[in-house]
Amino acid sequence: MREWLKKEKTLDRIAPFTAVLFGLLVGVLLILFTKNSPAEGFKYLVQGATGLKNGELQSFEKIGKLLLTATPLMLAGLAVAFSFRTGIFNIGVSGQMLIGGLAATVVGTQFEMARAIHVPVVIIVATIAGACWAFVPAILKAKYRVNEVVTTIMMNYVALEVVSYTVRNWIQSPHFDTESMKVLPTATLRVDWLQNAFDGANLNLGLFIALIAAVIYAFVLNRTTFGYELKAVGFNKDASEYAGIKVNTRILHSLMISGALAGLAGVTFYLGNTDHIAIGKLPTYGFDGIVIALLGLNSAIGIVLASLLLAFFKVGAGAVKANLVNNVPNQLVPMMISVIIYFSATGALFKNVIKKLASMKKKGGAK
Amino acid sequence: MDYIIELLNITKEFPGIKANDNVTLKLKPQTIHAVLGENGAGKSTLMSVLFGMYQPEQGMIKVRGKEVKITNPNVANAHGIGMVHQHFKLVEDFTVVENIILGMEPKSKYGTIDIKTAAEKVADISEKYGLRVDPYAKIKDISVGMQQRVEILKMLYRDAEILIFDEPTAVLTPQEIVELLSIMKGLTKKGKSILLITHKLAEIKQVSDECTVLQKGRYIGTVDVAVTDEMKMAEMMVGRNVNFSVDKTEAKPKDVVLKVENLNLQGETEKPIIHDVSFEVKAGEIFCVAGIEGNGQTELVELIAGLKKATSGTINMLGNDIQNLSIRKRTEAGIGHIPEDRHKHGLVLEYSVEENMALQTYYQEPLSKNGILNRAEIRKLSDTLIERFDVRSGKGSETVARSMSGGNQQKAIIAREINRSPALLIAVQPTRGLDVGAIEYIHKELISERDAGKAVLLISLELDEVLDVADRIAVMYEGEIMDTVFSKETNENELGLMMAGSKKAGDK
Repeated sequence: MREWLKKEKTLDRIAPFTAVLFGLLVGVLLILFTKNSPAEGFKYLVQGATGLKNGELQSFEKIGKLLLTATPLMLAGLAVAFSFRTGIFNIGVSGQMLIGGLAATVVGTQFEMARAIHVPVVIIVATIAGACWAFVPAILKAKYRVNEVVTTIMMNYVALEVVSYTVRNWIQSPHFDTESMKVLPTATLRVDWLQNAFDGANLNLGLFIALIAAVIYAFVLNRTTFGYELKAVGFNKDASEYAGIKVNTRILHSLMISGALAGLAGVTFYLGNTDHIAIGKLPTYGFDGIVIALLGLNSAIGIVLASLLLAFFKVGAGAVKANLVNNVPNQLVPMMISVIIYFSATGALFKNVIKKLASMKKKGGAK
Repeated sequence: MDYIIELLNITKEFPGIKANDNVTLKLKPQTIHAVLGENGAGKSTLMSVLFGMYQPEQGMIKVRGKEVKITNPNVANAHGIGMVHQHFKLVEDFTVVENIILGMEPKSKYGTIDIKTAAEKVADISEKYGLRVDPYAKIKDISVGMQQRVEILKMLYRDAEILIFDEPTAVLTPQEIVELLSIMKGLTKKGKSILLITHKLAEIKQVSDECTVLQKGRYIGTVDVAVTDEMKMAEMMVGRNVNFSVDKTEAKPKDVVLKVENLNLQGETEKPIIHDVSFEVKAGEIFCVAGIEGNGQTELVELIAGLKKATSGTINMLGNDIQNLSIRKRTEAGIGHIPEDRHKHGLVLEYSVEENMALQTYYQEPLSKNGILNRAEIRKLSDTLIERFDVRSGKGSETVARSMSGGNQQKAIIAREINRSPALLIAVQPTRGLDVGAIEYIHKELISERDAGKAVLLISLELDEVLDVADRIAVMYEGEIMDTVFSKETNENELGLMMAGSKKAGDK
């Protein structure tokens, strides 16, 4: 056990769990602080997120909602993680997601097609739009070494304005100034059988897109020469160049693929979770994606699990607030999430602490 | 006081390996005690134990006869132990004195840093030990040898009594080595005691009083250097007879493989980095470009490998102009490259051994097909190469490259490059920082490549290596080739003169 604890790989994998543990601990303290029972609080959290009440599943609706929330999170997490693997920090996932969603909304509202064609078309359009939006920072990075952190952030705000302009001038809702019209029923990702299966939750095809994307993500990075090159560039640009890998081209590809994944997050959100796009709202998914990538250690399985976890907190938050006797601040769950983020970002700290504990025990045992 | 430092029966284990197995080392005051061993023999681990970076599982440390627990480097410093690291830990943009006082800045009465007093103290120490360092020079402006002296000064400034030198000559020119060794002698005369980690026997012979030999983590013995010859020490280190002279037959040069003509590279300054360089490398010969570091050799290789573009001139490979080919196309055209900096350019340290073995050929069959990697084939290739080139590591093909010793990392690179059987093998300082066993091995591989009819371009700073291994030698000085000579018709003196910028004796 101690030897197992000392291994780097094990330590890397333990770090996210310790982070979550600390998040929960802080949650307990906060609930105690508001003079409520932590046990009650967590009972309502679980109940709100999964619909489990006294060990019985009330309905599938909550689970559907959980999966629905997790879908764009998963894709955003994959988008961020993909860029991480090549040593790029894509903070522009939110903007790429907006543009992907906008392009899909335009196609989904302005063109009439058969359902079997319309759905694939909006998905493809969103992917391309997201990739194109990432192309600007990508080419600046690859050709002129412009820091992608700055450019991707700025592109978020440009995206916001583009959405605003397009919605107002082309696809404005007849009822609300700040919203686009609703996407046509032929283009939506929502399908009846899924909604029925989950008792009316808006769960949609996006979940399958996200899961397939996760599988492809793992395959590309672990099994293809392309992924081998991307990771090599991420680890050591100089050695990659020596080995004849076109480093700049790969950086360009990496950021654009990251953008494409963000575009997919956009189409699942705007044509699945909702049915329109709103002006002036930068989705937080891009930033949640960073958390998920960190927490999931950039691995496909990790990202799927981390997005489910984050969705669990997000969905369950309301029930905690509504059901506890004494008033609980709205910030309770966001604070727990923040603590998790904080501790997953300082994973190295945990690694060292665990390492020390493991070797200390050993010394004691020897004596 | 018989011994100033005693490391008694030290055992330090890492997962899967005993880095130190019951090792004992006793340092007499005012002497130089060498620690000799191949890469991975446990020299660095032992020193890290003494310096407080690792805690040993067993054994004890005595300083000045008293048992102590050294839990971190600060404790070591407090006991008067200082370490001159192989890779200097200096701030480039700071002056010498600023670097030296870093971490213990003297304050004036107004709370500002009192540079002046510190600089005077530095100058005094520098004078006392004959270091001749200008306290106000910036680190980036002084030579590597001088930078090393700053590291030494740092220790002396902190009143260190026991100095550990970790492979101090690896980065120095021959002249600087001579100076360093005399400085070390001077230090012991003035009361300091020195532990010298090295695998260069000649240096041990020159300066050391005693020598402790380690082999694969085990303690082999301590010898009196004055009465022990180099052969004996080498044998203790490697565990078998070592062949010092490089066995090789007369070169049988055939067709020209690489032809460089009137190559020029203009840098940012007016002075060209490479000026009008022409030479040929033939199949079946080892052609060496010798010279002191920083005279354009690195850039020359970068031009041939395709990492930089020449300002003018031609590079021909097997009759074809390769100037406009990409790096990969040149690799495919038959260039194998053992780069100067194995960590930066030779390996992806986070990748496993097998992934590194595939670094030049992963995109070709059988390692991949249609862009899908064939992990089984990569493993097969890697296992074969590990076997053939005797690359040692904890977990074979799965070992992360970072965790291997320097010699084995280099072996992995050599295995990868030679395995592609390139028509031209470029080896840039292939033995830098390696021990006798590994050097012997690498020289053998280079010669066997030559004998297999390949062209070998060797870039080296070590005169011994140049004379022993090369068939023809070109000496570079300030971007120009001074002259090209046959190794059997020249000697160290002539080469040394050319390296310092004078043309061949006959040209005068």
